[in-house]
This record gives sequence, structure tokens and C-alpha cells, in this order.
Amino acid sequence: MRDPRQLFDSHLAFVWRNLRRLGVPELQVEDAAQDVFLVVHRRWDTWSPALSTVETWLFGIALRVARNYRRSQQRRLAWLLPSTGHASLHEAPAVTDGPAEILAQREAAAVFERALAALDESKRAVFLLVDVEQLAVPEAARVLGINLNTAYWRLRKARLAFRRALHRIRAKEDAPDRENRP
Amino acid sequence: MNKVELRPEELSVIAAARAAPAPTEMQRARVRKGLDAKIAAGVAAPLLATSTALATMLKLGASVVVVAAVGSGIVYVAAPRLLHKSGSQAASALPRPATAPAPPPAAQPPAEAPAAPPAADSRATPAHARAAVRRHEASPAASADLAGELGLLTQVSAATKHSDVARADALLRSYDQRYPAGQLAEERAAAGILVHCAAGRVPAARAEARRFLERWPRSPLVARIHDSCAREERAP
Repeated sequence: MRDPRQLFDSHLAFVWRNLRRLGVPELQVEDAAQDVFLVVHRRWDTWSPALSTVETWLFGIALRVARNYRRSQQRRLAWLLPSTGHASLHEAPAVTDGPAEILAQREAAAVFERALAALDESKRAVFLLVDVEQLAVPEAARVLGINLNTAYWRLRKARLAFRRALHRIRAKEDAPDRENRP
Repeated sequence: MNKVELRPEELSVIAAARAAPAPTEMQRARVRKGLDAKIAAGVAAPLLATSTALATMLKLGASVVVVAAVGSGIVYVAAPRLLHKSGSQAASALPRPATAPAPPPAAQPPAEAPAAPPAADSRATPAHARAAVRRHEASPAASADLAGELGLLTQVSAATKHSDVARADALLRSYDQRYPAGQLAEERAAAGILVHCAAGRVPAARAEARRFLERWPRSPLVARIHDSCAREERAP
């Protein structure tokens, strides 16, 4: 990795995905991504591949940026958003003319996001690093600044919570079908 | 402690999600452009979440800060600001920092950066004014115009709130005459829709809402519009 610009080109998608998964609203991901790479720009000289992979470094930055966005979004947007919180309404219109595989993938991604929302931040972070970004648990523990046992414990809890959330979502999806049956 | 392994169906959901949310080329370009602008402007630290436009406005010496909206209308709160003198010149004269002189540690969240002024209203949401601010970044008259625009739109909002539709319409006409290429075109358009709603002009509100959504599909004001009379029910 020669410079931050190159990192931007190669890892914007990584940062983007994880900001979304860490709870940054769609509307604000662009700003949040800018913030992450601004930190990258400023801190570039401090990063060393000997200390962490670039992904874990970026994730650590994204985690903190996302936390700030989550904390501030309610008070900042409260005046704009209807009290009913139509989360999907302020997102860009969905592209509906894509192939069936894209739609299926989008649906799966939506299920994933809903299930992920059931995890609190500490569990979500370790779950994202290990089960989604496929880092080793010790590396995730380093990124998060927690000891290895804690990381394993959180991962276990996160997986169970994710399982329960998926189960609830599936049950809700099936319920209307049952109701419509004669 | 028993290890919990993910099941195949859980892994498949994760696998699908792994590839799904990625920035489009347009989003990528916007982030790149915004990042370059911040770096070039010498923004020392990422500001709070919606600070993109706020930072720009402060550098401009902008005399006003948007914003609050309540009830049926949009309310713009104008606050005198004297944080930076001759901002645009100062910003352009800043040396381009290869590295910031005193960066906080990586672990420090950007919110702790001192760049967010305490005077900034926590409700301030100037993100939707971003494009407009960028358009006028080099204009020293931008701040004064912005103040004037905000003042008019504030009055529009107040009139709408009090169901004084005639006054709201007159104020909007005045806005259009004085600021045909206003910095707050997005806000003006949203205010117009809400005025139509207050006047019971639903078809007009919906027609303007459609144009609004085409032009600013990602606007924070979209949710506000959807919550108004302009919301069109989907056909069964």
C-alpha cells in the first residue's frame, strides 16, 4: 500500500459496507466514509503493517466514526424525520429491474441487516470482524482492544443473538403466508 | 463454554450480505471529491456527523446556520456567526497539509476533535445545504445571500405553521425573484410542497414532490415530504 489514495480506491467498499453494518444510516454513509478516510489521511504515517492489517486498522476507525454518527443522528435528524421513522423512505429508490439474483441477494442483505440490528455494538463489532470479514479472533480482539477470552465470549453471544434474530425474522415472514391460507 | 458455530443457513445470509452493500461509482466519486475538498481545505479533523457543510460554512464565514423544523413546516434557525474572518480567502490560502500537525491518536473518535464549535446547534442539519454551499464556496457574497434566503424561508415556515397560506405564497414568490439560483433551492422546493399542502393544493404538492424526488432523491427532506399530503399511495 503506497499511499492513502490507493487505500481509498481499494478499500472504500470495505469501509462502506462496515459503516452500514455498524448502523450508519444510508443517508450518511458518504459523509461517514469521508470522515474515515480523512482520519486515514491524517494518521497514515502511524499505520504499520507490522501492527495490524489495513482492514483491522480501517475497521477500528470506522467503528468510532459509526459510533459518533449513531449517537448524533437522532438529535440531528429528529426535526426532519417523521416520528413514525420511515427508514426506507429517505433512501434512494431501489432498482427493481435487475436480475432475480440481485433481488434475492438484496433481500438476503436486508434480512442480514435486520438480524444484525439485534446485536449491541460490542457483540456486533466482533461478529462483523470474525464472521463477516473473516478475521481471526485474536486479530479482532486486538482491533477492539479487548482480551481474547472476552472476544470469544462476545462472539458466542453474538452468534446466538444473530440466530435468534434470524429465527424471529423468518417466523414473521412466514406468518402472513399462514394467515392467507384457506 | 461451548463454542457456537454458525449454521449453513446463517452462513448463506452472511455470504449474501458480504457482497451486497457497496458504493456505486457515483457515490464513490462523490466521496472522493468531498474528501479531496476537505483535505485541500485543511480540515484538521473529521467533524461531527453532519459537519461537512457546517465546516464549509464556517470556513466561508457564513453568517447563518440552518436549521430546525417542527410541526407542519420547516423552520430555519439563523444564528449570527463570526467564527472565521474572510473565510474563503483564508481557506484557500491554507497550506495543503500533507499530514496534520497534531493528529489525535487513532483511537480518538472524531467527535472529540475540537473543530466542532460549541455554538453549533445540535439540531443543525446543514447536510442538505451542502451542494448549495459548495456551489458558492468561492463567492464572498454567499454568506449574505444565504442569510437572506434563510430569513425568507424562516418566514415561509412560520406562515405555513400558522396556516397563512397567502403570506407563505407571497414569501415564496419573493424568494424566487430574489434568489432564482438560490443556495437553498432544495429547502425552498420542500417548503413549497408543504405550503401547497397547507393550502389544500394536493395535486400541485404531489407534482412538485415528484420533481423534488427526481432531483434530490437522497435528501433528508424526502422523509418530511413523504410525511406530508404529497405522499402518494401506491396502487393496489
